[in-house]
Amino acid sequence: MDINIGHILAIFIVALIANSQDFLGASFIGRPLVTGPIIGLIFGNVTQGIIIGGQLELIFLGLVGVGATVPPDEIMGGIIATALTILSGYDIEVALTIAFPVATLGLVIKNFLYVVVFPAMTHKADSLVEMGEIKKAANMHLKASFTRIILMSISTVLVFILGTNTIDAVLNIIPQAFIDGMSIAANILPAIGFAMLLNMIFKINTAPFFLIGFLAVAYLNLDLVAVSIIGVAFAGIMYVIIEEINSKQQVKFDKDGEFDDF
Amino acid sequence: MTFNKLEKKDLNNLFLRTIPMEASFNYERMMSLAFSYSMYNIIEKLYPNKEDQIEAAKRHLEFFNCTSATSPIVAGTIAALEEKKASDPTFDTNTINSVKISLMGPLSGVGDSIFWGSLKVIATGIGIALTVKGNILGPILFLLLYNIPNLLVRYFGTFWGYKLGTSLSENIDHSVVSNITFIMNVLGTVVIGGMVATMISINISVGIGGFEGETIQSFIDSFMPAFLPLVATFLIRYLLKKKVKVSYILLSILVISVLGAMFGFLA
Repeated sequence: MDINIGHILAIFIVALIANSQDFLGASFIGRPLVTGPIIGLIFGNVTQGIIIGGQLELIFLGLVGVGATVPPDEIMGGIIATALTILSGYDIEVALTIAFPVATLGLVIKNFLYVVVFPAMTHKADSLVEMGEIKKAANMHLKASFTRIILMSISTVLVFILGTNTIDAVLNIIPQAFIDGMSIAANILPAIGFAMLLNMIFKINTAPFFLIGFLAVAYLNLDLVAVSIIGVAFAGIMYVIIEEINSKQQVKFDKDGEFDDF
Repeated sequence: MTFNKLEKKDLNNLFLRTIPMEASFNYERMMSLAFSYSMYNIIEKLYPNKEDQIEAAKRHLEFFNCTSATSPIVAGTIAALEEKKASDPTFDTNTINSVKISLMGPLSGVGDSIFWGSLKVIATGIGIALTVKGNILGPILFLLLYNIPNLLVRYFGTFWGYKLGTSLSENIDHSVVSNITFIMNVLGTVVIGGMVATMISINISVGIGGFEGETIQSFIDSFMPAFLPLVATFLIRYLLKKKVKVSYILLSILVISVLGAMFGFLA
């Protein structure tokens, strides 16, 4: 199997477009189902590209993230597995065995972005806002997005050049504790976001309502839609109570009532 | 007092700016960078004063998470409330925060089940069925079936949201209830309580001596599930109040997680 510069360039361009799927409206343009035929076209076997893409899609369809965890990276897995399989003339079964370790490597890189790099960029945006650099802070989103697209595309090209044997080697070099630690941290980090939200709106007189939402999930295993409806119910109850209190203080509110009429 | 009203072109711009909503996802504040990016033009137009701009930008750098396709609805609603705030400086910004938080939960739930749960599965199913025969229509139909509804909901969602936000702020205007902010806070707080128990998970995998197969985690779970996420959230809130830098908190969590994986006390 010979890889030439044209192949490398083509893989890079496909990877750039595919990794833009979240940037372009979470449009799924990077799914194996879509990249398969394109890779097939580039490497001279569209039909096989379509078929491999469809098979890989079936595999990745089942790998859905549970809770806050992100599933293996189907974009990198799909591109590499399709390309190497067509180039080497392997059977489709080989594509499936290539896809998984590649997608796992993709996940490790993505997790690093989600756990370390992007939170750091968010803190940078915080301090930019503090200094009045509103526009720069807003554009931090673009910086983060392009960092991800370019990093993932370069990684895809590297894996393509080095071949799949090296993926296992790379995964072996990265200490398992680091990989596991990233996924553990991924599940704890949202606590920072919630703590900040609570700092904004939590007051001691709304503490019981926090507990209601918390307990509804922790003990009753309700989902967030149900919790929100419970929230609406309690907001309604509070509304009725406050209305009641206000109507008893009608004298006091008569002045305000005038404004209400026009 | 005069102020700039939002026009159709501003909402069109808002729609465009919500398209990359998921691209800078991270675990600390999830889609906050994306949300602040989408609100930039609105903030700049509504607030001539730098201080007000800074305040508004800070609000929208807070935690945000929603299904990508339904998040323009939140952005539209918030745009209307920011417009209200710009026209009426006495308007309590806590209402804006609370409305945003209250919308995340239900719109994620409904959005995930429609877009991820149904639409994507249907589109993929049809796509794969065609690719088995090597039919190029497979991927094309897959993209069209998913993205036409995706884009329509995004576009019209921005305007639905704006309408919702406008009617909310008008009701706030005409209501004798001075405590509307409190009521919205109640709703937002319930949702945060639910999110703390849903989206955070901490698992201490140390066994308890003498109890076969029992870990500290199973002991904790037996008296209060999601106890550790609750403790972690309030501990971090305490640290933030003590002015500990958020970067240090992030770093500590990373170090503890890696050490936990290394020595096997976290899983």
